[in-house]
Amino acid sequence: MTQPIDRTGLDGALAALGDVLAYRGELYEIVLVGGGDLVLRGIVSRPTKDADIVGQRLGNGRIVPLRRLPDALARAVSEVADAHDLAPDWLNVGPESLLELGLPAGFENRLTARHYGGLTVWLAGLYDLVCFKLYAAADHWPSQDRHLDDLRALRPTEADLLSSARWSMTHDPSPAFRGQLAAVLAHLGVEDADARLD
Amino acid sequence: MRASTSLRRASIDRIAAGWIALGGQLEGDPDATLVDPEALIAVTAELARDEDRILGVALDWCVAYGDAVNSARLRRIARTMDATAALASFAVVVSASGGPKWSEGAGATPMAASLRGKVAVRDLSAPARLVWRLRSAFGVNARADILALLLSCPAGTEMRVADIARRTGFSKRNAALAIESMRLAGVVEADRKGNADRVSIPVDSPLRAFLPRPVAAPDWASRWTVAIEMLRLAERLADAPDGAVIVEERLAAESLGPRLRDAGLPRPDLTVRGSAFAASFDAWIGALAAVLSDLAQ
Repeated sequence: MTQPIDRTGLDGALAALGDVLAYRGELYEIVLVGGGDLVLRGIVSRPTKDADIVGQRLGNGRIVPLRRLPDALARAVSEVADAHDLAPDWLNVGPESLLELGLPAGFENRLTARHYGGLTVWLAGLYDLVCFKLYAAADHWPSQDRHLDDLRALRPTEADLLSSARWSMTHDPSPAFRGQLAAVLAHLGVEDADARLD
Repeated sequence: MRASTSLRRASIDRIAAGWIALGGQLEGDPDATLVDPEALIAVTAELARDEDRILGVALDWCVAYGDAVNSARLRRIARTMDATAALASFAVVVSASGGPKWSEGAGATPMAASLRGKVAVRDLSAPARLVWRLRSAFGVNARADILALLLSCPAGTEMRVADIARRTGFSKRNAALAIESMRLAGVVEADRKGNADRVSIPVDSPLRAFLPRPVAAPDWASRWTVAIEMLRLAERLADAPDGAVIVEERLAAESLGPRLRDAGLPRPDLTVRGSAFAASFDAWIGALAAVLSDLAQ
């Protein structure tokens, strides 16, 4: 039975993966978002069951989507999972729509790198995490789940929340989603949220 | 001492013990198990190429008694061990020194080995020499090797044809043909049980005079293949980062599963996960070395 991964475990698993890739002469640069990013940064202490990759970063800094992990990377991920008793998909491809519908402006410039042998992990910036978590929290509203907890843990400013909300609406322009978004913002203390989304 | 170092030392010592059992004059005790000449030659070429004394004795023996070697089986076993290139280099020297001309030697660079005149054989009565003895009596063929394997087992032991084929290194078809011939001649008994023939040598067979008491007959081809693979792995991982070592060692250990069973070797504990696996793997390599160091098994 595999266990969720805490910060130390995730850091160790990525280090093991980087070691394996380096030993095999493979190099990958991946961009991490979601709970894995938060756990790795120490923003949340809850363990995560997996870490989501939003894409692969090329040498020129451009980020390209991954429909699935490249074979050599997927094999190494699976072998590290087996060796360290992790879920087989402890590192997997996250929501494709993030890249297809557009990342927050300036996303690439806010990335920070962590180097693990043959693996470079680019962590999404804090503002971008607020965007993704606000979107997820609104999407799940009225359920108040880990996305809302994660959003609180990020301690976003009111300006960041409103800016993130506007970005979220580019992914889901429906009135229903806008309503949920406004409800989340109100829940987080943003006054007159709906009117300020335009 | 690193575990792989102890495995290498145990392997070299066991190779020497094999040659001592076949008449080589080296320091140490003789192997007390059934010696497989082809497996011994192949592993000597692969692992003992830098051991001048062992290589010299191996060369002495092959030149003097190489006619007792089954060259086709030698080729197959070397392929199993991925030791073809090393065997080819050794075969060139054997041929150039007046021994048999094994075809794999053609065009290979000769190994640095020279005759030492350090093999003395009075007779073949020692249990470890049973394969050699039966080949000397009945010819270098599957029959002699199958009889050696069956005689090495306690009286009454029945073996499946498939197991006999695997253990002797002959194809199942060739093993079955040889067994059928020997059954017709009354040399072996073959009873159909379930969907497989069970083969044995009659308890009162005069052939038992060749080996009055059972002797361990390890599957040396499998055993040496495991040792060679693990020593190569240790070399490859010498400078590898820790995270890679754990994964690569685990993969190697998993891939050995069936071969470990065939070789009668202990299995690594694959339930150990994470960084603790490195120590567990080292302990297992130590256990392999311990098996090789026990000349009775």
